[in-house]
Amino acid sequence: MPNRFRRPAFAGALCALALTNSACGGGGGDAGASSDGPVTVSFWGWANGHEALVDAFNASHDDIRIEYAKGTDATTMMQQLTNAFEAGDAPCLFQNSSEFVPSFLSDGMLADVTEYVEPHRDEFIESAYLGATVQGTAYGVPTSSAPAFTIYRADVFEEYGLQPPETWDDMIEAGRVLAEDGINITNYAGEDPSTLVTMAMQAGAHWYQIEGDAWKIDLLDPGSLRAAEIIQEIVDGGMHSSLTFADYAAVQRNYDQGGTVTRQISTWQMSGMVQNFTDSLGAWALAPWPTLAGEAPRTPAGTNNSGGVNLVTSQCEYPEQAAEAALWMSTDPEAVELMASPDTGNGLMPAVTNAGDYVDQTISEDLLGENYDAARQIVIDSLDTVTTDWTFGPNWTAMSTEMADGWARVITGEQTVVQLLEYMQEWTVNDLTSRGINVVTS
Amino acid sequence: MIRSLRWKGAAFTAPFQLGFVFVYLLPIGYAVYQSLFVERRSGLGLGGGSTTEFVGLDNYERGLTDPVFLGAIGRVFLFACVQIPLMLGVALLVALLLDALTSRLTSAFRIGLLVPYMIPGVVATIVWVNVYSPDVGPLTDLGRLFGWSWNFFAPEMVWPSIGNLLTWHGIGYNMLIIYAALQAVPREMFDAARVDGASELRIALSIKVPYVRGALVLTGMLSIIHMLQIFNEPQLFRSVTPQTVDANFTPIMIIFNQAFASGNYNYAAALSVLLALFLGVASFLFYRLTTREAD
Repeated sequence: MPNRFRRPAFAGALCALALTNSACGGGGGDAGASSDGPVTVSFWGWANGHEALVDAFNASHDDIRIEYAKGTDATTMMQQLTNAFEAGDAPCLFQNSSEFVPSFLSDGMLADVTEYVEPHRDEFIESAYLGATVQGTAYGVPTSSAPAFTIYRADVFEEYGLQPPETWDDMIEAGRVLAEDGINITNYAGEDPSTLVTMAMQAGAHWYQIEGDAWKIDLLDPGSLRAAEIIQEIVDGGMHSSLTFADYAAVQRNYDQGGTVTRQISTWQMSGMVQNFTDSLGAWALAPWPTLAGEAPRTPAGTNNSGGVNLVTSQCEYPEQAAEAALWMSTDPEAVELMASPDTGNGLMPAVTNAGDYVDQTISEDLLGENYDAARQIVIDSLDTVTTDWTFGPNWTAMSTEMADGWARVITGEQTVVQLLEYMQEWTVNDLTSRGINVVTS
Repeated sequence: MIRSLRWKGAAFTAPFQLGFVFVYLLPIGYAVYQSLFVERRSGLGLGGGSTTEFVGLDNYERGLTDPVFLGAIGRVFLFACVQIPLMLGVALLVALLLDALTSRLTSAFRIGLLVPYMIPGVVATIVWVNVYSPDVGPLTDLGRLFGWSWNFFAPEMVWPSIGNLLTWHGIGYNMLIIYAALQAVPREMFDAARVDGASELRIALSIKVPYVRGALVLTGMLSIIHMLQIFNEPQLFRSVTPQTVDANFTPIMIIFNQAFASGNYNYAAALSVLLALFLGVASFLFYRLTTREAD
């Protein structure tokens, strides 16, 4: 689901340059509460719809008040959070993605809220609940689940007499046919290696595994190598476009005009497509996430903004109230409905067990046309195949930044996927060791 | 009596001294101190706690053997070797031309050339990024008019693109310093030269340029410091072309990443000190090389 960067993030870069919280909608810390007044919980996020969500919460609660500060995007807020935490001024609650939970935990930034959240465990889809936990301890509340599937140009596939791709081999075959006419099967953005991560997950890789008191690091297991082989075949065959998501308009235009005809996505990416397309509305269809030949369907765990969480920080004075607020935002039916819609919220599939009820909000009939009805079921079905045995490591933030640089060189053909994995294997072991974390290899 | 006067005199410098101590000495001292430690977690690193351990010069050793850091220093150094002579050459040429003109137009030109410098660097970069943009930039259409297709964000074009922007931004300022030095050249020397039959070109090369040597050394030194610390421009370029400008493109970008993305404040501090040392050495060598003949 390559989409880490959604907009030409000038604002984000500017905030990064400014290096201060206050310049970019910061202002954190707990405003504190007098003994009889309501408790104030500060909350940082960047999602569309948060303001309305917080207003609804405050209107319905007398004992807790959420004080919201909106950031520009995930990357920028990450830096602001680190700084605020160093300064002892972190918010109580913040929006993030489940893949970074172990990193925040390793930096001592999270509070154990298991006693408040665990009783509500059965209200959430299991894979989503696990996203806010590390080794059975909950540090926040899931906000979204991670359905994942293929979206493709049904008209183009029909024109070339191609079947919707069921397996990765089908994708490569279709890619070969389409490449002859200069049509790309997929887009690999040079800054976003999430394609590699999600395919490794699917192929049964475990980059980080806990073995006793140490991390076992293995980026070169058979699963990773199998994922590498598929990607390498697509890159070598010149079947991909390589447009950066930084130039968001250009990426969308490329999809709209048939330059690239499939994407592996979750629900939220569709709102960007609907908003930017003019030519190809109604021509898209969904297919299940491609399987590996001969294997059962398996879709990646939450990454890349799907698999969202609201986390409670260790600097929060009122973790119980923060957890309560987070639970309300993720489970109250009105709150869930507000956030599930791409118009009023961020269009992410909710984390609650009845997420299927909201699927109408998260996918668009304008985009899918007559393929809309079939698409609903594909989205719901994909929730049952989410990988639950993948673990992100405690240095994932730094690791994914480093890997992004190497991924760019894979896309430009300067190195192979396997070379990247070999380098990252060594880098990850060294980085963990330099942090004083125990590592075992093979 | 004299002693108390001295104290009174010294007291006038207090605001400066305080600023110097708080804004320069203390932060530098703190960075050096920080650079001697590492933060270590233990076990799985999920306990949240970490201990700070004194490691002496380990961070420096790591920095000096870090191919990414050394590569970035090499990259900006090469860039500086091309960019600075080019920019100062143009600034010198413009200053000489302005000096040769006597009409009232010169002040209008002077102001005009200085306008880019009045624009904050970040804003200037955003302007140029949009000018360069393959999608909305006017240069793409202009190129098409002549049948060229150019991409200012392509890997081989990133530095020329940044260089052009820096030249545009920096000419006015450097020109002004050189021009001021030119004004100080005794005018009677030109008359003497003309009587001897020297052309204007000869006067420029043999009298004016040697006279502004000091100004060139000064602007050269300031430019070296600026170029090796380059951050704003590549960081903003990265936001539109992350595939060619990677996260570790320049030394300051690495330091920024280590501190604010990876949370390695100690290593970032060590790299900052190393970069400062490197800058100091480069400036010193430049100064020695350019002023030796004058001794």
